[in-house]
Amino acid sequence: MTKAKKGISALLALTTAVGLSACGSAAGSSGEAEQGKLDPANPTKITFYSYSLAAPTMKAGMEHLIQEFNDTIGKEKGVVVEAVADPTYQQYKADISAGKPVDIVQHTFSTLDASRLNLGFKAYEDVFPKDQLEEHLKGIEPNALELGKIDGKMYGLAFTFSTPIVFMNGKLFRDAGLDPTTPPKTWADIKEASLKIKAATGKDGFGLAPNNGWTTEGLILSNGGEVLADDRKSVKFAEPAAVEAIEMWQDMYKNGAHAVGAEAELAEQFMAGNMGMYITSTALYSGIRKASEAGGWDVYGTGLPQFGDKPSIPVNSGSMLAVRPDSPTKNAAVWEFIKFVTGDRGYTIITSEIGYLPLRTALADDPNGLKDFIDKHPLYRTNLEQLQRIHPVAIWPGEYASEITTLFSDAISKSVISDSNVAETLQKAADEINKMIQ
Amino acid sequence: MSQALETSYAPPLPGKPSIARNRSLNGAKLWRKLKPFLYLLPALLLLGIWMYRPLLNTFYLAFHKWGMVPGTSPEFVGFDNFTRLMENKSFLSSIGNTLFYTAGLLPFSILIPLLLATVTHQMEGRMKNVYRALFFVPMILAPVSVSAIWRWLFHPSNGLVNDVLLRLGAISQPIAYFSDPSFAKWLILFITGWKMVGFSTIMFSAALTGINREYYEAAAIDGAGSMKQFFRLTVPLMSPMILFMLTMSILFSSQWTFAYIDILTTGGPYGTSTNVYYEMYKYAFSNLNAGFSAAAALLFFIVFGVISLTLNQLSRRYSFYDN
Amino acid sequence: MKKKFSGLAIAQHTVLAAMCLIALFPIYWMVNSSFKNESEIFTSSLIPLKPIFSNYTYAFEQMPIIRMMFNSFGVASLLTLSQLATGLLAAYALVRWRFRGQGFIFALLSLTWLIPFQAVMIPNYVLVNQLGFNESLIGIVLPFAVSTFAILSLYQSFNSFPRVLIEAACIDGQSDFGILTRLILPNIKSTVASLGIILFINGWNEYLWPMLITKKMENAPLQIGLRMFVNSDTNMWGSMMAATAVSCLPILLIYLVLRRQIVDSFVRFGIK
Repeated sequence: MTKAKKGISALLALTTAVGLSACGSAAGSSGEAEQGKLDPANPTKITFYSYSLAAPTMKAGMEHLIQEFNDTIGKEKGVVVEAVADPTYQQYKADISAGKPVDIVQHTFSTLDASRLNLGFKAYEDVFPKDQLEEHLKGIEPNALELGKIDGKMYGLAFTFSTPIVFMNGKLFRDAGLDPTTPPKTWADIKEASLKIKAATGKDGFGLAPNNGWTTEGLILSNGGEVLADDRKSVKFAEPAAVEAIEMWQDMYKNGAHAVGAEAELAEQFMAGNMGMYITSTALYSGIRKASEAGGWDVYGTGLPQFGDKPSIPVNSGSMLAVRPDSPTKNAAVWEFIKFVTGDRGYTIITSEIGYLPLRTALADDPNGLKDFIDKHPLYRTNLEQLQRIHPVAIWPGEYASEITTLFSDAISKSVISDSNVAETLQKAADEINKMIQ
Repeated sequence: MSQALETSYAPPLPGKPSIARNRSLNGAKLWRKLKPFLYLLPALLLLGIWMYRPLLNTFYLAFHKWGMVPGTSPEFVGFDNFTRLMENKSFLSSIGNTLFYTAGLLPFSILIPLLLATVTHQMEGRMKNVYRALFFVPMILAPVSVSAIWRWLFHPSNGLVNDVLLRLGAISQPIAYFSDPSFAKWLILFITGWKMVGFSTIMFSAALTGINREYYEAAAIDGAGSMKQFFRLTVPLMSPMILFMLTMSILFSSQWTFAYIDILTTGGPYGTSTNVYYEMYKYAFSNLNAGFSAAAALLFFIVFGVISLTLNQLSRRYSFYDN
Repeated sequence: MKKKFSGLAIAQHTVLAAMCLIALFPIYWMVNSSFKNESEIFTSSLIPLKPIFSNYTYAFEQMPIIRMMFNSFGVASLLTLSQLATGLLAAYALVRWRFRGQGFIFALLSLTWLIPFQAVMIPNYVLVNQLGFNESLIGIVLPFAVSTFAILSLYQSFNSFPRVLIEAACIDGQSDFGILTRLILPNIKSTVASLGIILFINGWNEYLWPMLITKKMENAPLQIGLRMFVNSDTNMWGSMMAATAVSCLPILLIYLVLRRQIVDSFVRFGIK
């Protein structure tokens, strides 16, 4: 066989294989979802891809959550959840590509639409029983529910959730003559405090990672700017209000005793006690708390700073549960898991052991729930208060979501870190993105 | 191929009956024709499946759009991927970076090793081998280990480098090397170079030992100083090895940086340290855009092919063999 | 004859010593850091004043290190064996007989040098998943089962084997395979061993493909597992250095023992 012939026949074989596999997949479900029968003697296995399992501060709590489900409801009804750690948010994509069963994914917000289109995620209304769904959703903060909706249908149910918090190192504050119990409220206050801390202690006063991927949007929104237009057909982060917000940050980076480094490095620096203020997700709270105890300092927290008098508009970070069960039995199995982890018990574990927000806000006052926990950690009240003002993080349209995320993030990094003209940099990126989503 | 193979098959054994010989000759002839291919079969088959078939497949994919999800099939889009590639700013800047890495690695793969090899060559006895053995150590360490060590050394707030620089007063603020556009790619370059120096040094040392001592003695008698000896004698006589290392360096330096980019900077900050290979990888497995990645691969393969053919020609022309 | 302590010699030794320092200091720093406790880790002390061993135990707890080391050895060994086997057979064919298409095959083999792995990774990834070999050693090994470097190198050394011996064996009635295994092989043992060492080191250091194929630590080679550990947002630098030190250990031990052979191998295969 000549090489050419070999090549062509192999190519034909591959093309046929690909073509046949296309024929093999079933079309999506329609109408009311069928719920299969679950059998405790013959448990149904479902896979849950979670990135929290790969983060040292969140791993134990998430494992506990899954284990408790498997031991209680799972055992009772016949569901076994196999957890897969996904440190880079890529594993689920790769496994779906490989044809493996990927039933539930702890999915970040911005790329949900891309997943919906390309990876076969299903709407909750299509796979779970309607009345049970409605009943279950009652009691969850309505703002939070909106976040996973695309075109009126729910593709993701808010799972782990947090808002940005300005963590403060109490010791450094006092060393600089500041009072950590009256935290800075505006960005101008932050800059002032940061410079004071640097002058008094020599440590960086403030840190916010330029490639943080979500708080940036809160920054823009708080100044009255927008990131993605409501009709999702154009981006608006190159408009004056947004540009002004980023320029403020650029100034802070250069003149405001701002720490340098990527997110991981900034977190390490703060936890080592070498930074005055650090904006990040409450999810890191348990880790920060431990570090502060080990380091002999105390941690305080306050909400996202505002611009002047305008109340700040935080965005949420965290994840939602996106589902793609491929059989009626799996529909039922997945539903059991979803009900547990987003029920009262689930949120109790998530908040107390990992650090995210309880989306069933009633739990905060429930003595059987989280009341004691929250009384001990008043930081959460700040969080819950911000919850009422949140704005969804942009869900980038369609198939280019990954590339758009990169373009946006790169533009912000460039604007903040370098000396470039912020308006120009943002405009260039906006133009490129607009071309993609037209 | 240097030597001709004078026999294409073993001569027939004497004393066999003629008819049987005829039949066995015919059968044997066929068998002999097939024999080499039989031995080659495992290698060629595996190469065919894992190198050539996928290469053709990649060329095919370059003209299609595909998300690599089973159940979807590639969609023909003609030259769309190519036009988008050409317009994509990060791709274009990654080409620039690729050139940067290629040129930048040359001191580490040619100049410094040449210097080291020459210097150690003149030494007597054990020190020579000790030095060589020590230089070689970075080469055997795996990329991940190397990255972890350097990441720790260059950590902005906890790393040794910043600590020392701050104490010496060379810098007033800690530098976040891997997040800083002016440092990221230089650091990647340095780390790759650090690893490669030992390899080239050993190669050049070996080439040096192959040079006949008499040439040097003759040159010394003629009154040539050591500098002159180096340039007029050493370098030309080492030209095959130098050109070989040059070829390898030009062709593969960007590939060598791949692991470090992936672990330390993922191409950042904002694309200042990425290179073509890394972009190809990102398009495929991060953006799940197989067609785009394939188009980049195809373009690159062509360019690469041209470059290596040219280098091959150059190599043949300028190599100076001692005969 | 140069005097031993001339200024030039001193300068030379200084330069060399400096280079050695640059080459080896990072490794020293890694080992140094791995024994430091939490408060000392952020200092620049050259020797840990209060050395601890818990970094190592923590690393062993967090990662299945032994299992991963086993994976790495498995991958490297399998790769070496298969590359040598296919290489020997192929090189033998090219040297022993002259046949039609020989030049073509040579060109084909040389061409594979030009193909960067990124150009073939997608279809290979799809194929390995379809065959179900992902997360397994077989999946990691298969695409690299043949090394054209091995084939061409073996070809070179076969070529320098005296033809007359081959022909004599032929006349004696030896089978072709016999000639390969009983005549040629024993005589080029050291060459094969050297090649094997190079292939083993390469297999040990494989990065991109194992990373794509294995996502669970237990199935990953040591390097990939280490990477997962390195990139998690943790402040446990001491343990990270301990884990890295452990990952370097096997190859460094092999190097210590086989130092001469390893360096010679690389040299031998550079000079064509």
